[in-house]
Amino acid sequence: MDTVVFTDPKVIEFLTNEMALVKIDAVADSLKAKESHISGYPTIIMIEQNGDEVDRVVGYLEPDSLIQKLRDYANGIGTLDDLLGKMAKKFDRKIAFEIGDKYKYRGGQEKARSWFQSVIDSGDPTDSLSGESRMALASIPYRDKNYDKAIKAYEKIMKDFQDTDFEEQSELWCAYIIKKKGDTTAAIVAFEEFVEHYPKSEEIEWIQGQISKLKGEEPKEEQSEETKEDSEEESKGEDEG
Amino acid sequence: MNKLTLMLMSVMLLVSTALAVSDSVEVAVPSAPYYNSVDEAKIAITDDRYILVEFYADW
Repeated sequence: MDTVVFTDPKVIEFLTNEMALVKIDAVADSLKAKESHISGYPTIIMIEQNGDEVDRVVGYLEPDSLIQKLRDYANGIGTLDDLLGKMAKKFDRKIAFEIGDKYKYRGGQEKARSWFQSVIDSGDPTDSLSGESRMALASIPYRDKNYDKAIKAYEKIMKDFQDTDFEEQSELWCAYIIKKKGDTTAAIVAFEEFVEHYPKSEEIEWIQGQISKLKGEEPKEEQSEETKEDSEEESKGEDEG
Repeated sequence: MNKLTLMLMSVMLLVSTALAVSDSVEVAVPSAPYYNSVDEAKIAITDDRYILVEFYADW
């Protein structure tokens, strides 16, 4: 953000004349980050001066997209309140998914679950939106560090969504979560099986790095596991969108 | 070449090297203005504009 977004002339003008930026180091101020339910970086929360949250942007956006989204939020477009208002008039599965996603990033896990489930229940349980909802539902126990429950959810997706991107994503998540559990041997097997199943995956380079690290073949990267989690989560979020 | 000429040439070489080094110094890139806390922002801004709180992590 600092090197690309906040140095962009349009963003500089926007943050000089239209909104005020506050930067908080989430590592140094982890309490504030926890209170704000920050689960990925960067996260930009738009607030009113009384402290009320308008909405948030999780993950990286190009300068033009970021400015547009923030202006939309300022005009009440695409915010959680806006989407809830639309849903009050007429149920829409895509909007229901967006609402679930917003609650997920705000720490409203129960509400997120409910909205994702409504997407699945109101349509074909094997269509793309249901798949995205299932992936989102599986990520909730993972975020709560309930790894076994998350693995079971991803394994179920692999069965229900065979020969789709969801199957591939779920298998990778399983391998990654096994690694997070600390089972090195099983994680190596899971990653290697993934490579065997999906040799052309876009994630191959990262996976090979994971396997090498697990086998102790190279020193640990400086990037922490949390960072990878966040970027992993975000990249999947982008895929879903 | 006498000693004085050699000394002058050495000085000129040193000066040109120093100038070359200073030419390579990066120019500061303008960046968006920001505050370090919401309270600081509230005090500084006089209109009712929205505040954007960016949480970042420098690992």
